[in-house]
Amino acid sequence: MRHSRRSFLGAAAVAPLLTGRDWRPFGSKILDLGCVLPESLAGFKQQAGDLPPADTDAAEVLIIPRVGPIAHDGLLTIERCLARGGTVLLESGLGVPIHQAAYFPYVDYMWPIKVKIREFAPVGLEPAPGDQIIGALAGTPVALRRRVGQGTLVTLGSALGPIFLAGDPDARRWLGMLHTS
Amino acid sequence: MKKAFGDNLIPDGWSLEKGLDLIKKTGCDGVELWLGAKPWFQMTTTDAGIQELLRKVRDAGLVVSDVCNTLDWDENLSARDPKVQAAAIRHVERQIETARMLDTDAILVVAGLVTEEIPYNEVYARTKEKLQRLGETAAQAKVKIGCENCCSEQHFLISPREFWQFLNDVNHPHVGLHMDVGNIHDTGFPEQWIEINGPRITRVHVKDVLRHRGRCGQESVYTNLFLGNNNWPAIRAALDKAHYDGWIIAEMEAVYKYAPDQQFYDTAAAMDRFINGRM
Repeated sequence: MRHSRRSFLGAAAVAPLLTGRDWRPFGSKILDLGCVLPESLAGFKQQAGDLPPADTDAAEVLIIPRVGPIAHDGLLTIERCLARGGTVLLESGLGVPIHQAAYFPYVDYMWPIKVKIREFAPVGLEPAPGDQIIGALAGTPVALRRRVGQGTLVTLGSALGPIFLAGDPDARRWLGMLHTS
Repeated sequence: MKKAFGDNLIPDGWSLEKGLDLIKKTGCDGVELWLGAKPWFQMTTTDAGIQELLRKVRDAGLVVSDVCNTLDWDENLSARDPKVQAAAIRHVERQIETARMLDTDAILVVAGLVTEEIPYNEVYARTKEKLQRLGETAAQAKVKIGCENCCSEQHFLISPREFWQFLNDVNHPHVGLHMDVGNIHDTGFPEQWIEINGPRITRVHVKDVLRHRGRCGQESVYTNLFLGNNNWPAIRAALDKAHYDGWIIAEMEAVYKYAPDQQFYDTAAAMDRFINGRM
């Protein structure tokens, strides 16, 4: 069974209620849940050298390079991370492709730092109640943040992984700040 | 950001004072002075003449944004002839001297001209070596040398990565890029140049370019801001991304057949909208 982002949010919202244990940071883990964009996976792997590694079930930050619908096992892994107060960075390909009449290349991120990073295969994300828009491309939301219990779910509609391969220092700073926010 | 005009756009026959007065009236903060372009600023202009030039700029309520030159096309650092090389070094040194006297901290040079007779690798090596030496002179004067990207005209450093690598090879903190967003015709996109070379940008020239014009689509034509093919919102955002907050300088050809002062007013208004991001 595969889940859309919306159905996932409904399930994830109850997950934190299932746990109350203390949590401390353990680093990050890149998790391939059926990545549909090889450059995104490669970019995050390249960048992972700057990040403290961790096991999937102990990661403070779980990074999921560009995926479509997520299978049930993957969903459970995400829920566990959120339940223990971790951050899940989910690059989602589920959304409406953005077509710009006049091309503008930069996503304006407002969180965790204010930076401009080039778009990559962007899809527009529809904010659900409780979502905070943390990034937009020409006015269209492409990055959302949502508190899920003690955890944080960050969804990106514009792939960040490939940008690391191009060497954008702002992308590196953004990811670094995510690990300290 | 502050905005300026190059004094080379002042119509022929106008006095410096009249030109400066017009620049001030458009709401600009400064003027870019071109060594060799106008009677008031030549290699023969004495230090006293430079002081007088500065006084006139200040009397107009302006400051000098930077010092350019028109001489590089005839006397380039990459020339084979030692006499031409020496002349090129001399006029760049004079730019550095006068920049200090004019209370600014940047100069523009067109560094390197590739021709059929003087090949790319030779130009690269010679220009790099000359800039490393001139960088020391500039450092002592607390001035930065901005090498302008005149891609097509120079046949040199055509792409942003080439320029980035060239500046890496020069490896001098007082040698950077004087970015002209109108000079990139068919060799890329200015916002990408800004992203790649951002921290090394010393000044920014603005004009627009109409690509692929002419009967056979063989020409690129310079024009006023917002009339050409540049993606100005992207350029503005790229400058933000690069944390550039310095001078924006209109450097363009006189294209108004009548009322030449109108080009100044129109361009200044466009620069305001560019700076404020209202596009």
